[in-house]
Amino acid sequence: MANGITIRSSIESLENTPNGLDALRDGYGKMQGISDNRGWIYWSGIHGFAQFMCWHHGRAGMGDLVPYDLFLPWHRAYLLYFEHTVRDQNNDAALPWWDWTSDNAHTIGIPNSFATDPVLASGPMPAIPPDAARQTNRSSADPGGLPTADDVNKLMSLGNFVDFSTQLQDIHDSVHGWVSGDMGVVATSAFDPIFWSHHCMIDRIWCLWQLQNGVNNIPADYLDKALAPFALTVQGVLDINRLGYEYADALVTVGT
Amino acid sequence: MSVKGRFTSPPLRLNLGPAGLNFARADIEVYGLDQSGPSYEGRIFLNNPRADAETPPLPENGYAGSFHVYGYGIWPGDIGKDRETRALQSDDIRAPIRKDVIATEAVRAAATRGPDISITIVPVYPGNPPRDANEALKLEGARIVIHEDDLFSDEDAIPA
Repeated sequence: MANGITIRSSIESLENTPNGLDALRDGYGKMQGISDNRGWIYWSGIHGFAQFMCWHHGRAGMGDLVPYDLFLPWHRAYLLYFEHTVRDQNNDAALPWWDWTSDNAHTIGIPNSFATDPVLASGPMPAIPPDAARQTNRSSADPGGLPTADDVNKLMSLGNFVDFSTQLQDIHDSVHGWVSGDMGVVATSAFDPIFWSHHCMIDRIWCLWQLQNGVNNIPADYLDKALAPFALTVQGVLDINRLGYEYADALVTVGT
Repeated sequence: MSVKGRFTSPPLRLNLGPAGLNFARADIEVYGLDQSGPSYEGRIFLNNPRADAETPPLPENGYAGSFHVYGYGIWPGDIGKDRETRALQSDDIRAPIRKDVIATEAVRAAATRGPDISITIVPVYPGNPPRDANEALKLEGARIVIHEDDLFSDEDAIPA
């Protein structure tokens, strides 16, 4: 933390820092052992099974006729609440982003720590009939199939938020499919620890886009939309500094 | 009416505006796309109705780009039911979606060869080699949208 602001770093930088992942590992490990509403299964279950409160793509909310797309603001709020819950277990923890455009990612795919560490390589899942409770699994494809820095940099020139969000969501969708296994479907993806770092990367890309295109660049009729079940509206999540976090090297583009 | 499995459109006549082939951007819109099942990649080929999972995604094969479906997979209310019996309301979070694939140069190249363009969508599961995912693809249709300029308004960008 710096000046009360939580600094989110990349997985790669934490792997290259002595004890860099200790706080995250400790926080995740404790959450994975808790069965109440402070625990891993409760918080991961908000996204998919069993609560299915996530927002993806344009759709009409309850009682609405006009579709809108809260994918980016909803997941920003979700990550924020999740990070606070992790920090309740270890105050030094911060969500790290997985830069799947990096040379390292295009060589090895899943980061080493998230492939080998017991707490980071999988997460607990509840029983989903007809399957019993178990740990998550993955079936990743060729690392060369991950999005590239060029794929992401092209999005930065899209000045319209809805257009940018639509294109970024497809990149997001592709990475879920690339990891596959439980990360491959909405119902189970959030139980995998890599989910949070994947979405941290998505949120960071939005932040970088906001720096170039305007923090408040979003349709005006989105601003008062509630981000259920979180006590936030879209307006409330536009500025990450006001939410109490920042991305390390925010002015550095992806792929570095 | 939904189409399941491999999809090839009839020849689509482009509505080019005053800019002709010098349009700023061309999108391939895939609409009414089912997202309630598995996840897969939808590879788009122009004027290549024979394209399949083994066709290299290269410009010389008419490859224009891909969209990716992040499927819902398991749904509590559907456990024990056949996927075909689902009826998804428009405000259901699993309601069909639209994907917009920016394919400017591929469309321009195809349009240079003639005004009618067919769209073929080949669904594949990731892997080496990728596997056919025909049973996953279900959609209403696809079309090409030409943008004369790159001034994208909120009206242009109806959420997909």
